[in-house]
Amino acid sequence: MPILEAQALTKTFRRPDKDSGFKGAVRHLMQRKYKNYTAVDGIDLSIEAGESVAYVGPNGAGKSTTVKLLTGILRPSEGTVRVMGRDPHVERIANAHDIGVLFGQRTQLWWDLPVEESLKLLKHMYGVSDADYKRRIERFDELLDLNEFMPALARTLSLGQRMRADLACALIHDPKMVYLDEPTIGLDISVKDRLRAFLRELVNDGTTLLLTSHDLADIEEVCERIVVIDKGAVAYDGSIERLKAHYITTKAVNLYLEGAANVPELAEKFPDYEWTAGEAPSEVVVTYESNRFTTAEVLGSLTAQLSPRDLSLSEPSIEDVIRRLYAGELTK
Amino acid sequence: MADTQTPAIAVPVRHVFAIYWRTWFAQIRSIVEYPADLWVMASAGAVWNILQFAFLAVLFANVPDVAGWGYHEMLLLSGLLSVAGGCNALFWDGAWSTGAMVIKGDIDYRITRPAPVIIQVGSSHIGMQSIGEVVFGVAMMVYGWIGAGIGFAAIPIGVLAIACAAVIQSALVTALCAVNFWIKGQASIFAFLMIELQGNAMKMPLGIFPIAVRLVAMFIVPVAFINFVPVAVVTGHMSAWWLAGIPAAVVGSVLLAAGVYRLGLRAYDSAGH
Amino acid sequence: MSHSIAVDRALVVISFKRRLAYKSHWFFGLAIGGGSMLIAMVMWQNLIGSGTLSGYDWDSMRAYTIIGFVAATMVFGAADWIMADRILDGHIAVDLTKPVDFQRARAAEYVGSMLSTFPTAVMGVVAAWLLFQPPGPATPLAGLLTVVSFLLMFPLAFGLTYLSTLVCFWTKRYLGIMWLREALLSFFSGLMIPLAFMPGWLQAVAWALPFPHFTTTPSAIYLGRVDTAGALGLLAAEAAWAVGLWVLGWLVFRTAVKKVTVHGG
Repeated sequence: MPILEAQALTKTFRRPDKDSGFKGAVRHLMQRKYKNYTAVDGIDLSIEAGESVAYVGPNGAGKSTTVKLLTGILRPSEGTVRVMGRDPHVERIANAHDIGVLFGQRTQLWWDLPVEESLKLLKHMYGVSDADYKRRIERFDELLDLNEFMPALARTLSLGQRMRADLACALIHDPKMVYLDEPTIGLDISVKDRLRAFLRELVNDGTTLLLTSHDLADIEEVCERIVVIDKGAVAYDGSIERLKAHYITTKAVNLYLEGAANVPELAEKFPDYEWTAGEAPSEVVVTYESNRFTTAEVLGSLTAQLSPRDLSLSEPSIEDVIRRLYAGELTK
Repeated sequence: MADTQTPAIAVPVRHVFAIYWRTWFAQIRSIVEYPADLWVMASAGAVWNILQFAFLAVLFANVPDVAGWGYHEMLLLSGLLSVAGGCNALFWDGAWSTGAMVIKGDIDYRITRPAPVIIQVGSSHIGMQSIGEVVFGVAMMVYGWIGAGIGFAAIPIGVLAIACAAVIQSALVTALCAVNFWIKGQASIFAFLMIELQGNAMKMPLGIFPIAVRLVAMFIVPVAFINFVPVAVVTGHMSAWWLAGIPAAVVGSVLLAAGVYRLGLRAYDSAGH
Repeated sequence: MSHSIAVDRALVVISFKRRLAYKSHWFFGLAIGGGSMLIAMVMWQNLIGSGTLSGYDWDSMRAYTIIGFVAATMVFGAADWIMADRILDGHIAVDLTKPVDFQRARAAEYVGSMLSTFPTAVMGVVAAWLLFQPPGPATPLAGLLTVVSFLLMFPLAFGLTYLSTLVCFWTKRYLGIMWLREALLSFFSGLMIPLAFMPGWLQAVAWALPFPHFTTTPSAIYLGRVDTAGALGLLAAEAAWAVGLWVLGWLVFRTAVKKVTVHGG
């Protein structure tokens, strides 16, 4: 049985429909008009225990709304959510013991209290035993260097420290199902690396993870499965490997020629490849299908006939695939 | 609250109290971090109360009574009102942040924790003006109590009245602050409207107002049970039977607050998407 | 600094429009102010009846209460939080980089927000006039001078509010400061109870402060409790306070702004 199951999950918000400015406000006062806005539109999602799922999509695609529906913060307009067999909104308290949540944009630390105090309040709220608490704090300290800022007031923390403290808060009760909404947002590279290592460890220990992020490195390093949503609906759901194998069918070479590149002329000369202009006048991008030609073949033919000043190979990334998924170029 | 829909797994009351007090004590310890604010707030509360005292002293230098109520009786009325407001600020000030939390999406985390949301919000802040309000409010009450010659026998009633006043005041404020789940805004304007009008009207004997006002203050928004009814009973202006109305007002206002909050959480749509 | 009248006017207009857009401000200003006015009316009617108290009969007390309502609406309805927040959240650092005098700019905004209380004040006064039919001004000249005293309330209210928001340079929150100011203003202006009811020493304390000009001065002029010379004297005192607070605000700001470099949210 899946640990999390959502069926035909839909959330519609009602928004006031008013023009900006004073006149708009007055007109809205006279005749109240509203627009319905569907943020999540019939999403089906099933996650097995131990899976690590990346949940990605462009801004406004409905990622955060989905997380809020799955965690019981919002009530679905239609459809159902079951986490370990429970409706998270109706059986809120029982569900709360099993889930850990982090919203990267917001903190759950008590603003005017030391970090340690916040963690102790949560320990008490979740009914964590002294021994478990001690053990987990030690482990978090090992991986996240918590002790460095345990006595500091939450309001004085740097963003990286705050995020690490918030992660400890989300995991202090050893939840089975963890939701992380943009856990690396605004962090510098070194903190990101540290956080990712921590999350990998978490997944290896068997915690089920749902992670949203705009940083695809988070996803590639931590998750096995990826769910792409766009305009509130699932655009892709499957393993990251399969996504790559399935969609990354082309490779590209950047050529830097001696003089200005004449793209139409080159395209005529090598009709098997696709030619596009590069950033500089002398630069040109050659795209070829990786199942028809080997890179050696392509480079051989190009260097023999064009003798470029320099060249570079670009490995198409998952980022490109997802960009194309967002743009609607690819279909399921 | 959503959790009350499933009685089988509701949080034990003792655990809820423990969570509340732990949070409250943690805040108390943090207050000393900003001594300037502590003193500004505490003196604001104190000055406000001293001026209420001064108002009555000035008024009674000019008039012998207000609708049959003497100086010391009116001091009791004002004092109990201040103590009720002060207790709200001391023990339940977080309720005032409901609107701001709704706008900022700060209710989110609280929904994902295994404790009633209303408890987490209520205990999230301490209004330091309460120190001045409670101390000077009690001083007014004691002075009025002795001056009115009420005696020791009624002291238990007075203590109980303070406790009930604090609960009714906090519950009514909570219910009105929860309106911000629907009408979005940083400021808790409905609760603010209530305490402003209550602060002006309820320091007077209710009898001077038209019947409609009296009915509203007794039965619709039962602010009369916070200070007027208990003071009127101990000073002999009302029959002791009215005391029975106080626990009823406590239960009614608490149920109202919990109910409005629960409906509010159902309607909660979080900030951003 | 190239701070022109045009800048002032623009700031007044923006602030006025911004406040006016919040329809809830109108409603709650009217509900709170109007409610408080009705409560005061009930109290004084009950206390005065057909007699007089400290020289006020029921007729003059009705006018007094309405004047108090207008003053309270103007001074409590203005946007003091915007000033305080700029200091508390560190926005002031941005303001200081602009070619605009900080105090003048805040004054223009404050005046704009005070003007936005106009609809509330007018609605309240019209309703009160119909309900209570207060007496007119003692003389036409007294009426005119009452209007002048209300106009002087603009710079006076700004000076007082500006000074109190500057305290935020030394605290983390504004709420307590606001309460303190409002409490003192309510009492020493005569809004809670006319100054004439107070013992001599307390009246002396009140008149040593800027607060009486928020209710006592306009009502004393309107009701003819002072003659024309007295009225002019009161207006001169009010104007002197406005100027004095402006200068004091300028001095305090100069000291306070030295802290700005390290002040943050």
